[in-house]
Amino acid sequence: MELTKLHNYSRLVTRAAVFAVIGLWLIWIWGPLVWDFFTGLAVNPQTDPPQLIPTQFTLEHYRNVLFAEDMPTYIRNSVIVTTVSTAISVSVGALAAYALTRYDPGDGQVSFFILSMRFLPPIAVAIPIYMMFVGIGWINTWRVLILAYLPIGIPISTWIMLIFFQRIPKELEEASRIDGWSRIQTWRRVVLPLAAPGISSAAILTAILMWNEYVLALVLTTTKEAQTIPIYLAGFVTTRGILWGRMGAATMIAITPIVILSFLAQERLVAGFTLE
Amino acid sequence: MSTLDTSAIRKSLHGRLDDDRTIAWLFVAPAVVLLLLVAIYPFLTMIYNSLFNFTQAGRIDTFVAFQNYTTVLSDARFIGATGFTVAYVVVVVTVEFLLGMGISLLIYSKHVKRRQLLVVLSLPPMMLSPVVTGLTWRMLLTPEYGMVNHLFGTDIAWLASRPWSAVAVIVADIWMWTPLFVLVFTATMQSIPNVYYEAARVDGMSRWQQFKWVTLPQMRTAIAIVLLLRVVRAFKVFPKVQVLTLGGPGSYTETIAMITYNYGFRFFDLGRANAAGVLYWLLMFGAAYLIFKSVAEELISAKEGY
Repeated sequence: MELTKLHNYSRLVTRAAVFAVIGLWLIWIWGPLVWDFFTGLAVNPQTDPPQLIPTQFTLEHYRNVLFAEDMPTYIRNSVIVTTVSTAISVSVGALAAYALTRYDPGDGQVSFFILSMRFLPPIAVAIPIYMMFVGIGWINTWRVLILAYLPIGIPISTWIMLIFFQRIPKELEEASRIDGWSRIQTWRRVVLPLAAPGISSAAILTAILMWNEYVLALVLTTTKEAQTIPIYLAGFVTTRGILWGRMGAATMIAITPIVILSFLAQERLVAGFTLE
Repeated sequence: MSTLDTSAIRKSLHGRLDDDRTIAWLFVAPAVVLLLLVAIYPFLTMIYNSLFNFTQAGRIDTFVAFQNYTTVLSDARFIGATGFTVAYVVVVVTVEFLLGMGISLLIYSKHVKRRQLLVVLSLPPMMLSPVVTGLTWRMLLTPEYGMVNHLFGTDIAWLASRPWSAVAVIVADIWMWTPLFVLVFTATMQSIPNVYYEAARVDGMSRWQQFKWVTLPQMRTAIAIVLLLRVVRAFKVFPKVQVLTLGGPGSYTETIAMITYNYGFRFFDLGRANAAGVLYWLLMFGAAYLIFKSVAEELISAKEGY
């Protein structure tokens, strides 16, 4: 039948168009990242005209940022600040999220209060925190960053765990209470294990946000003793002139932990981000 | 937690540990207290400090009432930064919304099989630090050795001319944040029961009508939430622009967050920085409130729908 043929043909064209657009979309997303990667490996990206794929590769830029420059110091600072502040945010957030899903004291006011932290511009928190701590010599320390990151970490981790706690059936807890376990025992032995996936995705998302944070670190730290990775990276365009090769290499090193963390979380990450 | 289990605390609470409300308040207390200490208290001190002048060394000086506010509001640079930030937010969020919706519809069209994989492959930019996004696009857009001018045979000073520097920061933002829309939209589309579409087809609805009468209404809540998240986040724009254009040429692409920082730490005028910070918060809160008000009805009706 001619008509079916025609129908099949137009279907094929639509199909091809759909895949072409999706292909372009993926090139748009991945192209810049691949370019970062190649720039970090190219022999002389400052002077050579750009090549889609470099013909010669070198690990010199990686060696330079890791050994000739101080990138490891900044990595150390980022790891310490991110780990400690994430740990505090998630512990505090887990307690709050559990109480909010089960009893909701204050009828929604508390969760609104916690979430409203998102409406504070970071610079509007950074400046007064700077002024509070400059007098007692806390500027340029890990502890001031750890504290300053809590308004980022607590809301996001509470929000994600809220979603996961809501899915834990109340009946399980009631059953364990009938068996004579105390509330705390129930929480430790029933709720926490069931909530573990939610807690880990909260931790991962919180850690990514803190690892990437720039504005607070810019205001509250001044030297490499306490400065974090984003400050180091931004330094490529302001203080040291532009060294494209090192910039590419440093960028790749800086995003490696994020790649690993998001790989570990994968589908739960999707759930966490969409906030269902 | 074991400390909470001790009989001492139990006694001191007069056996109220079995009272749900008391326990709930004990559980939320750490989060609330920490946030009051490290966010609300500093924020209130900023409002207070904005009424004073500061010495260059950062010491509180004389009470000047609202003088810092009038200075800031009559500063063409602050007004320019505000205008640029608002325009930036409107443009990026609109484009990201439309592009994200388009890509999501394609990924969820009947032609595509491995949808989850495509969604995951779309996500990386939104996981990056804005600093990394800025550096990445700086590498691509730098005039002489950048890939963009090379590929398209153009000779544009992307990062140092009008209007291209604005285009550059907007493009970088769209690259970074369209994935969030794709993520949220595809997740929502996945949850729409197929029966709805079957019913729509029985009623003889066209593809467009199905989108308008089935898909969109089902996505209202998701759209409301993602718009709110994005507008608030876009208002905070700072590092991406700092790394890409340093706010230039001149102060053409300077944002409110940047000028607030510059008042305090480039011009060493903390009084003006505090006033600018308060005005910045008011603007952001106002925008968020407007969106929240206009979508709150949607959210409530959606909740009752369950």
